[in-house]
Amino acid sequence: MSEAEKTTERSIMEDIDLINAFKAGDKTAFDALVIRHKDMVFNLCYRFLGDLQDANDAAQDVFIKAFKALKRFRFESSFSTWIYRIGVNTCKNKVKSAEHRYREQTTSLDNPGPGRDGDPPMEMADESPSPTVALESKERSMIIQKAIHSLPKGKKKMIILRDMEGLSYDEIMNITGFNLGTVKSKIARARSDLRGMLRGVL
Amino acid sequence: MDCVNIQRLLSEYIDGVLDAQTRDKVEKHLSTCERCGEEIESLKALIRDLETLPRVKAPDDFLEQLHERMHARFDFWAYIKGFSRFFQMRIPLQIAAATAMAVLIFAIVYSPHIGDRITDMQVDKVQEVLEEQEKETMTASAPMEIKAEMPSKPQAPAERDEQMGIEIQEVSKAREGAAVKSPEPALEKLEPTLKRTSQPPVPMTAAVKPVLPKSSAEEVQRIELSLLLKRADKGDVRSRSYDMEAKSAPSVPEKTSARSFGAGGEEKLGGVTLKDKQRFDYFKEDNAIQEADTEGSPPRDGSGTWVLSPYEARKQVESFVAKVQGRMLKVETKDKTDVPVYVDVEIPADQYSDFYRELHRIGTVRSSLPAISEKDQNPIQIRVRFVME
Repeated sequence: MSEAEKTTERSIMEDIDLINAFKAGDKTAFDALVIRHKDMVFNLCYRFLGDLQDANDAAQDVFIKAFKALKRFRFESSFSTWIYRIGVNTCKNKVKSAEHRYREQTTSLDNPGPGRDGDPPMEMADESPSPTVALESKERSMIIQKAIHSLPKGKKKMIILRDMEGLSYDEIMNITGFNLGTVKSKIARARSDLRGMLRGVL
Repeated sequence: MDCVNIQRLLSEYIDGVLDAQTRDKVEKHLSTCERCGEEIESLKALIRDLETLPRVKAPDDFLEQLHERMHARFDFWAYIKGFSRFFQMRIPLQIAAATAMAVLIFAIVYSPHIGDRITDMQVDKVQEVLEEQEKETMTASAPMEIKAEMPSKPQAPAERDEQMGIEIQEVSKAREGAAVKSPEPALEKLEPTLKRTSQPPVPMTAAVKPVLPKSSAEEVQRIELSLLLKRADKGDVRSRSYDMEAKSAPSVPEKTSARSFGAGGEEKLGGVTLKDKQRFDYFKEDNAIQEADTEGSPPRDGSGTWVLSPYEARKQVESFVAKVQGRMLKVETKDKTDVPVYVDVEIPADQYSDFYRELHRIGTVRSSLPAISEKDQNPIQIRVRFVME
């Protein structure tokens, strides 16, 4: 077992302990679960929604749903897979909502503008080494993000889960409920379409 | 395997999910095909780009925000759940059904809407009686007068007032043209008494402009009530006088006639003449007897039923009007008789409820009770129409 796998295994066991503590009545165990998974959930939501404020709201919705359902958690998957599934479904519903559709049409990825209620816009951490590289990287990221958002929902989901979140095929099967063949073909088609959209741009 | 099929497998090849045999085929093809080699490189570059896209982090206060939202949400739901427990109580079906029935009955009994309908039905019945009576009257009097006097249907107050105004004008004209019969002797006797009241004298049978002048329409409230009197049996003398109608003059009981209309002193007592006072005293005794009747004592007339003719009913009304310092405005009688059809009276508004009670002693008031403000200082004019059952 590789070091990464050992880390993942340890993480999964810690999640199980926290869930058991929560089921036993320790509400602070849920806070620990939130702290461990909030960035992953937040990032997933941001990938789907393309807006930091929406991502924040959606991520909170995900954890609220998780809080309500955690007592019924049966350990048939890892907590992270379970919460990914909640996240994907939550974002799917958010995207469906008319409000989000409207915001999607009027918000530019180049200039997201202030958040809802006039809050200052959330900024992504800039860890690039130089301004030039940073600009190129940022532009490249924006172009790719835009292309991802213009994909159909199913293909977008596959790209996010497989290539952006790095989930295994098994995990994706678990989250989406598709069989392996379907997952493989959907990922292949999504990648092919995205490459076709970015060809000549990048 | 051609390029198209190989390119379909490139995604799985990159991810390492192909079986060994297929992977070998792909590797063999890629080693020889430059185009497919470029294809796989571009795909790998895309995946690399996707993997290296900057990740975003949740805000530092994410947990605090979450706590706030959860508290708000769960407090609300706890409230809703607590409230809904009330509705989740198991109530026995019989109790639920009995409660529902009780509510339904209460709603039916106390519904003002339904009450109105019942009153309307009563009014309709009275109207039928009135129409029958009207037909009888029409046979003995001029058609024009009758048409003016008797509205064919129940009317709204404003309409009714207007109708009454027309009626009075018509009667007035008729009187001027000597179309209306002169009053009967009994009514002539009454006139001097009425003249001594505090109000300006009004001839009993005059067609009475002061009764319903247009100018005072806003000041004086006018009400029309129908008083249903029981028809007398054959053995009853007073009622027989009514039944005989125009064929002969009514036989008025001596005692009543003497007390009511006999000549005497005319000393005024606060607007009420001594005569009125005496008459009032008489009727007070009479009423006391009537009250006893209503409370269960046996009826006094020979037939076994308490009967009061319109003539006597009119006198009772007169006595009460005198008692409350009101005034008689008009007594309309059947043609060729002194049997009153209706009387117009004016009484202080604060005496209205007593007057209404008084009418109940005489007969059955079949009209609905109009709302009257007793604080109102203006007098009210009431037309009491005598209806024989």
